[in-house]
Amino acid sequence: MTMKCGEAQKKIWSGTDSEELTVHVKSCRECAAARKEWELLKSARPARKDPPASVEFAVRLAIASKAEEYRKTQVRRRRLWIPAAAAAVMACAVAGYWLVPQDEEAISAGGGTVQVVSSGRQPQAGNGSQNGNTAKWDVLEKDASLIALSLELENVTASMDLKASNDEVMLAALTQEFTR
Amino acid sequence: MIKEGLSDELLLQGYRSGSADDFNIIYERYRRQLYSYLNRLLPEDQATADDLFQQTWVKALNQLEKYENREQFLAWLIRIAHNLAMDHFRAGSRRAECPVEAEDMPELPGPALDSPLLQMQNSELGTAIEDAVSKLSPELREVFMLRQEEMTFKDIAEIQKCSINTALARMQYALKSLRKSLSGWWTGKGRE
Repeated sequence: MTMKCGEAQKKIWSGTDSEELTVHVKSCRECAAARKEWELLKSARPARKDPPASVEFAVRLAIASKAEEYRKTQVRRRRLWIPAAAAAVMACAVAGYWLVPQDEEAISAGGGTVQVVSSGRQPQAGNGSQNGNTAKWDVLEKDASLIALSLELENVTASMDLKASNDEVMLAALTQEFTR
Repeated sequence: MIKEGLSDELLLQGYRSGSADDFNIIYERYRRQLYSYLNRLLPEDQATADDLFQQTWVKALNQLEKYENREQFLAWLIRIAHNLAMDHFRAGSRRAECPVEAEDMPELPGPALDSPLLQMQNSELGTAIEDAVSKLSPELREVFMLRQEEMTFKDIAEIQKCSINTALARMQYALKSLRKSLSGWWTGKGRE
């Protein structure tokens, strides 16, 4: 016998079976008895009970409330992200209008579209340039109002999401309580 | 429901993105085991067991960010419950007995060949064992119960904040005490 009884019994209690243990148990009456004893004790585990309904209700309410907290955090994160992205887009647009060489005559403000035909010429002072700048500002104003509109729409949607999720949580909690 | 087959890790991810249903599945998975653990740790104090059950879940929800997936979720839950129970014992309502350390353990004889447990086959066996288990000190009772729940000695050692050898020694001592408590059954005297 290579395995000692102490080691064999630790393996029995740990539930780790091995060929070496099987060989040892077959040849050692004491360890065979220890294995039977442990199997008997393990099987005598009492049946698991359900927690009382009031305790369950309190836990489920805590779960729903924490889920709501997570949802609100996500909405808050989204709210922070959208203005930041909008500001970045604005900054890029402004930088683009002033830094990229453009031909003022090629900018057509009509129909809300802007066509830029690069001529490699920088904006110059004078009447032509003033007209060009006015057209640029018109387009920038349109962009800004579009971004403002989308932000407003996002805020309205987010508040509608929150209200709907609050209602859902309350409804779920009440349904669970009534069905129980 | 398909989600019921998902791992704890995926369900926790879903919960962190705001889905209460995902955590409800985890709750369903472990509520009986946790409740059973607390009831057996506090066998004569049902109200405290209920209270600690609720506190364990609330604490787990509040500390969910601290949970690391490398650990079993049930082991983590039981560790929270264990800490709460120890706080309760320390608070004085029921003082825990001195912990048994591996170094203090006397060399114990192995199970007798004619062990009383092997002889007992009557229907009251479960009750007799449960009574004997409830008389063990909290540390010994906890090791025994957690092994009954198939928890590894590594997890038990983590829960009890002791070494694996200490957990094994406590198991050995618990079995020795149970053998002694149940000896009356074997001799036909009934419960002591």
